[in-house]
Amino acid sequence: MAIQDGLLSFAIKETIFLPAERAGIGELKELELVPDIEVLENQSFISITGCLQLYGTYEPARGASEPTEGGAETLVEAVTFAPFPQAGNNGGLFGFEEEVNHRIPVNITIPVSRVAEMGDIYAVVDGFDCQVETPHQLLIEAELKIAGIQLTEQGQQSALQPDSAASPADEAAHMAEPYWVSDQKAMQSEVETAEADMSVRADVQPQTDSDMHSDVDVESRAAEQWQAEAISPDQRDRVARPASLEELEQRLSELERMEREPHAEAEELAEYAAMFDRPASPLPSSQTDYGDVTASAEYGEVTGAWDQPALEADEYPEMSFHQAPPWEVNRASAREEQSRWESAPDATAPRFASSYEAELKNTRGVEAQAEGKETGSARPAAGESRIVEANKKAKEAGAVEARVKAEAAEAAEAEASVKAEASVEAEAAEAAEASVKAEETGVAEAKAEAKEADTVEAQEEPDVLEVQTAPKPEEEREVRVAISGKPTEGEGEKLNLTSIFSQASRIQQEAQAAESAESSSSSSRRADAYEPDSRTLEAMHNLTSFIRGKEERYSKLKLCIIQRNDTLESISQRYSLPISKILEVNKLSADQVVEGQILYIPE
Amino acid sequence: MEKIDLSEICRRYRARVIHMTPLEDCYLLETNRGTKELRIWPRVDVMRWSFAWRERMARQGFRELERFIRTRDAKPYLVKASRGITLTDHLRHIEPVPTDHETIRQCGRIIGMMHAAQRESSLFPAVDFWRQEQLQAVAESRRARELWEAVRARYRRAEGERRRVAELFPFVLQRMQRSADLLASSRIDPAALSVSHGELHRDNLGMIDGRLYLRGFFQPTLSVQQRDVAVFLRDLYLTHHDQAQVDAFLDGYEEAKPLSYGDYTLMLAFLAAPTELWKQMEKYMEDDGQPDGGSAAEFEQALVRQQAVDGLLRRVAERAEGARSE
Repeated sequence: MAIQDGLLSFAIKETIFLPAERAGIGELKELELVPDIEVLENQSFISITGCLQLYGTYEPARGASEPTEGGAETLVEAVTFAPFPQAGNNGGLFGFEEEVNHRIPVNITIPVSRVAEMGDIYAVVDGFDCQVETPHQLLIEAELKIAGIQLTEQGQQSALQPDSAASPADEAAHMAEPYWVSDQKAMQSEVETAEADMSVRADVQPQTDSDMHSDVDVESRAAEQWQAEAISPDQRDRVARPASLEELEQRLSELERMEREPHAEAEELAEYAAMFDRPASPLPSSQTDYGDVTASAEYGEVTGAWDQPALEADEYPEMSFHQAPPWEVNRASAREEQSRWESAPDATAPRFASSYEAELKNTRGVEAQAEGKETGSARPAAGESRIVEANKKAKEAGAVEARVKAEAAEAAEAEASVKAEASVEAEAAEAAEASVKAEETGVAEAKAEAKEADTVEAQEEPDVLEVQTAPKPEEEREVRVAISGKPTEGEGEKLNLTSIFSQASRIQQEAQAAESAESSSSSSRRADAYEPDSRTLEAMHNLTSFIRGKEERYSKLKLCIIQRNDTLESISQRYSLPISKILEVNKLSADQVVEGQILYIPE
Repeated sequence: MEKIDLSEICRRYRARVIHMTPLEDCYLLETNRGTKELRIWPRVDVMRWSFAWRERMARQGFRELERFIRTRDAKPYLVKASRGITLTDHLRHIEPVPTDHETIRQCGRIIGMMHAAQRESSLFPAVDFWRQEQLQAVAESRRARELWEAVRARYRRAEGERRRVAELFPFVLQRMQRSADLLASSRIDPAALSVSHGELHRDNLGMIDGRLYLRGFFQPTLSVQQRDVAVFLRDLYLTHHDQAQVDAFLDGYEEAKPLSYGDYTLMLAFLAAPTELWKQMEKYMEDDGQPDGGSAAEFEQALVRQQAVDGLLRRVAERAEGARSE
């Protein structure tokens, strides 16, 4: 994920494998990537969900049994032709031309506070390119841009962080910049925040952690990082052990200056461009999973990371909760952590304690969730939900985080996983309602950490209860993204409910929500709906779908591959576009095109 | 073009002409020695070549063919105003060739003999005709592809008949391309090629008084011999749909003139070209927008025939492979 021209931008690199029974790609005729995305509004966040639809036509490659001149093994092979289609056959049009269809599920969650106007949100596919790797393997690259999202936070600083040095601009920087590059800066800003509030300290870590995850997004580093499954100790050190607050402040200001310079953006562009650079095979593979995680993890944490954390992380008390899988953290390490915190020589120790309490509180909530979902599958979800919370906290610091659900990647169904997650979260939300509120107050960050590291432990600790009693209003800021290359169950079906509800109004929607989704909404409302359960989510789908019709806007871009005898005239006729427009869109000066050249066809 | 005085020509022959009737491709002469056919050959060289292979066949003992009647001064033909003039007997009571395998085998043998006789003449370099066929196939294939590219957008959303035509286009293109590919195959030995008429139909063989006659071949068009066989086999198969006849014909042919793998390749190249279907499609495209019920029916008929030819192709190819492996 990156920010370009004020748009949230996701680089997408997807490898599509054609089934073996399909004819291989000989020559691409047309390729089109269309966003089919709906915007769902909830009380606390906006969910941009749907998929990118890839449509294309191609001429099948000649199979081995169809040799060309002189290449035939035998004359029998040479004169064996595909039979003519029967009259009245409604099968594929044009025997020579095959079609390719593919869906890339997308799920992005954005805090309401980041969205000024629903109608402003729309998705654009830009920079679409493709490459035929093998007759059965097609690599596509594109950029999905989401417009209408405020990339900077305005006056949303937590009450507990009145003097936070993290300005809106800085927050934006956090969102946009690979922390891995500028981790120093991130660290500084966070530490600065820590100064303002004890609990912030705990905050810093999750954010840092998420930052690092976002770093991981950069493809070249992704694999390493994920495999290492932990943030390297030195990095942690850098983040968590500032030399002095003054120094940090100084650095922070420098970084802020740097951030505002254009080159920073260019840098990030370069970094993010490759972010999705991995083959998203429809076949589940660990690489793909990580790739997915990486792809969507730009801002946030990738839950996949949580699945494979190294316990070595525990060594560093402040970070440990991030390293360990929430549901696997062993108690010993958690306690050790706690004790370290408590005994920290740092002047902020007391604050630590309080933050820790907050964490415990959160943890309790998480625990409750975990208990409710003792069964294997539910547990990861619970962990995820915690992670989500952690993300939220991290976001509070000012960064918009993109959370990738590892489960989504693993299960190959982003949407399905989202729902599962949502339900888990909803439960968690109920149980940990108080903790959520605590987070809102600004301690929320700490909660994320606590959730993970102390979840198990927290169950036994009475402190948790204390923490729960500190509800505070806060806005969650979170961008969660799940982009999966794997075919979803509903492939081929449109998720779009717009038509069904097109006549409904927003007010009706709300009323309906109150009625039809009573149970789910109640819980989600109570908990400020960090994560709606499946029913809630469904209800939200229903409720918000009818406003989509008005508020969604798509930008289509077709890709045309110049054939041997194509001319600009023929292209312009085929697509009913003036030549000048084609030239303009493709930034062509000459009016000559050559075979194999790719032209973008605007719609 | 200089006019030819036919009465003067007639005087060169021993037969006395009583009546002359112009026909489509010759003059029918009623003479005191029976009915004769007077032919004007636009190409003298082809006439000479034709005379040569006919005489060779006769010398080999096959006399059931139209031999040129000699003039008073024993010349087999006359050359006047750069054109050749021949006189042949007019064959009557010609019956179609029976379809039993033995007769078909004999037909094959006779055609093989003819090709063998023609091969002895080096008047025309067969390689030139082969190249010409290659170029034609490539050009036709390209033309079809271009036409398709030009109309495919228009036919993309077509319905009904137009959709059907559009649907089939790629299949036709594929066959045309394959035909061109096979024509250029490296398996074909240019030195083994010989010239023949390029068109051999069932009409060229007939039964007179229980004897198999070879007739015709007065057209000046020439090509490689394998084209003869391909055209004949296609004609034969589409009439009777009997693969055994095909085998019988080829068996007979090979008695007189063995077929190499290259010969088969070239034969299949000619057979693979969906000439008839392509013509119908082209016609349909040209008539696009003008509803013509007959056109679609012809089109489907041509398609059925082409599908049958696909079966013939496989049979011949299998035979070629069988011969190769022996």
